[in-house]
Amino acid sequence: MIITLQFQKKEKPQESKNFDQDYRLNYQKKKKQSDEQCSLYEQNKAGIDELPDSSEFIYNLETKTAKKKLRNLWKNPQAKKEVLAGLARMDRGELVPRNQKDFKGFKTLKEIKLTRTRMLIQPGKNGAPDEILAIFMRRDLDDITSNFKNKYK
Amino acid sequence: MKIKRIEFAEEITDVNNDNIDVLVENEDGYTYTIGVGTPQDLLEEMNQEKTNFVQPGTIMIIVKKLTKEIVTEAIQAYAEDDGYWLKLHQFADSIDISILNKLEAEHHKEREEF
Repeated sequence: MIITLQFQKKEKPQESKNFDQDYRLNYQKKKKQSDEQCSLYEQNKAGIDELPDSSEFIYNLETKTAKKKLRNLWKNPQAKKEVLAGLARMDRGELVPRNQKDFKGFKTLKEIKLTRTRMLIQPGKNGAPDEILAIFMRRDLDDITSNFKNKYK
Repeated sequence: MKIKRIEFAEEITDVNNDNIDVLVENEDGYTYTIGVGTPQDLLEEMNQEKTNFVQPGTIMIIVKKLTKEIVTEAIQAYAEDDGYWLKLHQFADSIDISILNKLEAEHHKEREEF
């Protein structure tokens, strides 16, 4: 179990890029400020420290199956690359609508669909970051669904 | 390969324009997760991602419409004989490059001998 300082959800810059010459610089400053508005969140990365921190989401891979499936995925270089790219897009708020769906059979969970990998998300409430509950290969969907049946709504 | 169960793992938003994961259980109780989508969905992917091609690694069965009947028909076709194409869809992203390199080398040698 890893405990890290996690941040409140960052506000997206509202200014027009055309009128802000120092947009990138200001964005970085604002992100840093946002990152400094810390509150304590507990994270569980299943021992995969390469998973990047974000102010948009935290990791809570708490079930044995979720941990095992992530560790298996991490042995596949292409899948790992896809997940890291997907997380970077999530951090920047760049996921397209086709990547996100309600997770069938669960009222509260969302599914992030990448090409060969999937993530299950518990959307954050009241400004809290989203919780990533599972990251797995597409072929492990059935195992994860069965595992999550009695644990999540 | 005999199929025991075919189940849509997600709700379909548009039968003409969507992609879904389909759970396919064989008679031994093993479950494959197969991506099934429509041509329109691939076009939408390219538009949303602002690319001129579908990303590498997109292993999907393409159907005209995402109806239970058509998807079942397609899955049955992929599962024919020893289920080679169904298995390829399940494991294509995990085939070690050395296997492909070996096939390429064998074919190369075969052409040289010809």
